[in-house]
Amino acid sequence: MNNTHSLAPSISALMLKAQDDVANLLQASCTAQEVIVTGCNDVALALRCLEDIPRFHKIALRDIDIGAAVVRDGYPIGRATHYIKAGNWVHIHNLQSSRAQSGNSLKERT
Amino acid sequence: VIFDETSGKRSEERLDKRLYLVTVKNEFMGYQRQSGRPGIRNYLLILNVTGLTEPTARRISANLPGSIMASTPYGMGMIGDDAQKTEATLSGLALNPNVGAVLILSADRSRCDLIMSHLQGCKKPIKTIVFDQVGHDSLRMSDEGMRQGAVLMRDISRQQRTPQPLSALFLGFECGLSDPTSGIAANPLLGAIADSLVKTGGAMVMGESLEWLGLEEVLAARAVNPQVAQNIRDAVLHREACAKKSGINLLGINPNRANIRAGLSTIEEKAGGSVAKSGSSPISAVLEYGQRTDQPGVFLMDAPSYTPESLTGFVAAGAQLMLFTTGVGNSYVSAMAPTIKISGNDLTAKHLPQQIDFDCSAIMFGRDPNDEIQRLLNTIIEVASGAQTFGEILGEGSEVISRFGPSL
Repeated sequence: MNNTHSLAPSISALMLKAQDDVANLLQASCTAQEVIVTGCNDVALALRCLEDIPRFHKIALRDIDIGAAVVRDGYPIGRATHYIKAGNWVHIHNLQSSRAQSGNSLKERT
Repeated sequence: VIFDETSGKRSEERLDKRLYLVTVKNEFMGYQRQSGRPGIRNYLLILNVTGLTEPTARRISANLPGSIMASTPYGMGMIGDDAQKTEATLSGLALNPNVGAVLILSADRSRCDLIMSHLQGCKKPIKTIVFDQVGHDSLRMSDEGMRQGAVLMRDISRQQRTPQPLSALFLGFECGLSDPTSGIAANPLLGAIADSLVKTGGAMVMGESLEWLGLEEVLAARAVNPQVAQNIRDAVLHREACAKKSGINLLGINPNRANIRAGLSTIEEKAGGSVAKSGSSPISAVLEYGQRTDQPGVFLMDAPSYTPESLTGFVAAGAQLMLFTTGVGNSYVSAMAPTIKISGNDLTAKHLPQQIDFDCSAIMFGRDPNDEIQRLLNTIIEVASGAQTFGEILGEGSEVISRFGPSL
């Protein structure tokens, strides 16, 4: 967990459940900065940020296929609209609600 | 630290000192009522029940400092469900424990009588003035209203606060302009408060049914019986259907732009953070908008998400105090129920020192949430006993009754 490859010191991110695909950054991050992910089972995980990400926004913890559910806090918060790599910023440009579209209500799903 | 009136500052040092000095009591000082829960305030409510009399009501209230006005700008011509829910909400506001006395203003006697019919058995002093009895003269109504209101205010000011158990509290839980810290720190803190309050026999209500979307099965699993579980699912379906009927794609509306800028991407993500407010205790019932309850437990209200109408629904249900979390900042409070503004975002708490009553951002950076539960309980007890929130001091409150259909 050294950050010799990065100019900036490492920053922290919070992962809420062990199965989560994303974590929330506690500070804004820069490209190539090291992110230490904590908050779950006392296991720290380190990865590199692939782009600048605003404070409290989400970073992908693993590669996510296009169309795959994105899990945060143990439940799906939507689907990936693009292929997402570990270290990418996850937000409305690559994640879309599974519910907030016409023709996809609870009644129609069940 | 929460209400540092002198400096407006909130240093950690002062916070820690307070933690040691204040021991959590299980009671607060409130106004005993002849029936129902005690009040945490003792307001004269100027209740305006017809749109024609609203300017007069506003004039009367402005001339009786300390009184609160709640009003509908509509009146005759409201029909069906819309009329019924408005009536229930207006009556609920009058019956709220924070109201010591009521002055009802109406353009006509029949509408006044309709509201009065819901207040039978309510022992608080109630006076009515209708346009018919003052020759349709708004100035005479103003004069009469100020005179009668002054007497009511003097009478209720004689009442004293007495010790009341925490279980007598009915809290309304709201979030507005959320960010990721709302779902990680502030709303789970409220959930812990909900569980602790409900365990002692208190009550809480959470609304914003659109924001149960995606989490309806999690909530339904907590329902006390299958009917309540179905009511939870139906409430979400109903909101989805409303959006669909209007040709609205929820995408881009909820989460709103401020939520998105702050880092919330989808309604499911926002909803998860939002429902964390309700804790994990069994859900007793789904209330209709403004529906009163005097029962203990966790209640959900099938209601609009927009804060002004949402909070008024809780006040009408009987909630005396609101816990309101925000990520980005949100100045709006209930006029009738003191509203404690809580943020898990350190920058927001720093930038809005006269808005955020309770900064719980330390949870984001590793503070034991249990310490914050104690500290928030202390704040609740202080505010319930008379300590003012910034929203009260600054007059940020109003009451807004939602609409449920077209007028004739």
